Amino acid sequence: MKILMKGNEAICDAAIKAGCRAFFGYPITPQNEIPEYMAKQMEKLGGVFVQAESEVAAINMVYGAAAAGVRVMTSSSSPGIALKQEGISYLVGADLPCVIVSVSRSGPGLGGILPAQSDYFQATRGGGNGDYYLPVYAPFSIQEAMDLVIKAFDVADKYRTPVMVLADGMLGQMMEPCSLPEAINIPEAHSWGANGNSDKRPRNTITSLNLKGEGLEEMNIRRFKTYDTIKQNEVMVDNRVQDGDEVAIVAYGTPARIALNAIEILKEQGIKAGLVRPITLWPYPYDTFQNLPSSVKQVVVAELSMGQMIEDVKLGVAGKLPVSLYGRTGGMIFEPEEVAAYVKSCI
Amino acid sequence: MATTVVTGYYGSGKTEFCVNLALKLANDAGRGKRPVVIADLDIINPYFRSREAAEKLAQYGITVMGDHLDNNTGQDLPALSTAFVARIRAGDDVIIDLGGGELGAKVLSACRDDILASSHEFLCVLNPFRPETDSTSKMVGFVKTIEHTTGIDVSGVVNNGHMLHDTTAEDIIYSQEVVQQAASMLGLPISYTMLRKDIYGKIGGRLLSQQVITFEKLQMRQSWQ
Repeated sequence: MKILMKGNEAICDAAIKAGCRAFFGYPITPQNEIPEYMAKQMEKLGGVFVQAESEVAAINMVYGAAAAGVRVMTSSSSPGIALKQEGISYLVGADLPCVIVSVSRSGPGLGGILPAQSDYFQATRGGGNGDYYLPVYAPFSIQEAMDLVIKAFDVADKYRTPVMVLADGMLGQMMEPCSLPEAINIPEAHSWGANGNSDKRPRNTITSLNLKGEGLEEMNIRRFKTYDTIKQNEVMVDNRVQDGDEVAIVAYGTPARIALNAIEILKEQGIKAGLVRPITLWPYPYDTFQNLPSSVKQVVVAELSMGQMIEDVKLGVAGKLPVSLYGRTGGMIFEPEEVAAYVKSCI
Repeated sequence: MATTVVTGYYGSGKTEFCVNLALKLANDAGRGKRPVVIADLDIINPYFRSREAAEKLAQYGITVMGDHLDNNTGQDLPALSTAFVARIRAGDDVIIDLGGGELGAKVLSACRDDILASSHEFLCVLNPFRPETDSTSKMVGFVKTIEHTTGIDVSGVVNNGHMLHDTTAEDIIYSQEVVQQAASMLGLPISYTMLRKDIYGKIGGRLLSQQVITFEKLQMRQSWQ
């Protein structure tokens, strides 16, 4: 049976379904419902919830729980995710899986509480030090947010990496009918976990410490081999561009919903446009842009930023087509009519 | 009815109800020219608050009083304006749009005496498709909690069973069954049913509430939301 769920609540229910019994966070709008909901649920389920003294503390608690081999999640919003970057880099360095939910708001600095997508670079290019990437999932509906949170836990475990779920504030706050995923198989705590059982097995050590240059280089090369595998196996894209479409509109998250309405408006005006919706922002679906139908003459990127994802779109298009941006920032959200008018002005 | 206080769980549709109730009042020719005020006392939700609709509602002569910072929707400070209290005392039609749940209802303590001194209704909006109010017993518990928190007796419930854009006639009828059982256990009337006009066309004759509010499209949601 379907129920009406708020994005932030749905993310929690999905995490719980995926076996997450440890959550560490700190409040910030527009993701407050996540720690609020997890605080109630963890208590009921016998899990662990800590409202840490800061985002920095929370991400380091995530490191501890992940090192013990259990499924763990944290969440925050833009400036809070910025604070977590050091910890994320350490998690990568120690090959620890976890899920980080980023419900983004406007920036820079304190910014505002309204939705934005100006944290695309932060999510896909990392803010912490060192050579690394994170798999980043970008849902555009509440149901998809649930599905991708479960997927995020699986991918985190499979490749031993932190994974980010990037939702803009609108997805966190809006509601939609959805159904809880079916019961899923939850893996046992990892055998590599440092969980106090060393008298029964050889001692497990979790560390990113490798003071010798050769050793550290070897670790980085090994990690990038894993990244190659992730790139091969984990790219997700919702490509709705059809033969005959003149324009490809590229959008993720909330703007993808708006773009679909804009495409309907354009259709009424006799203009054929189709949507490319990257679901993984890293690894990015570059190939999609090499295989667009020959009818496509323009690529328009619709983002709630001054233009961040557009850089990946340009890498994908590789100069073959004109690529331009329709962006709003500061928490302003474009309407379908605005996007349609911009697309029309491009052709 | 001068003061209508509207409470409900998050996502019950309180704000949508308040806005539609205000429009119904403002469009009621028999009422004369008395002002309609929505007091947006939502300190829980950062988005989808009635102050977002202030500009649209001004066209109908409806004033939205949110914060005292120009109804700025980009702030989540609990900086509420108390200007609406003067309007309650003046006997204007004031609709109080509370934030969700027990926490959202707590702000009423600031104006409880003025509400009790006015001619007032206290309505609880119910939606069985939200997990925290998805059964008769949870609805009853919720109403009692709100009464305990505010110290004001709820005077009626609103059947607002909805799935946002996806609401069907069956949803409303199912919701009515659950809400009616809760209302009868509480000894309260179903004061209103709120539903889309086309659905009302199909099932209007089966509704059990004292009054009905219909709308063409959702006021607080865009087509893509």
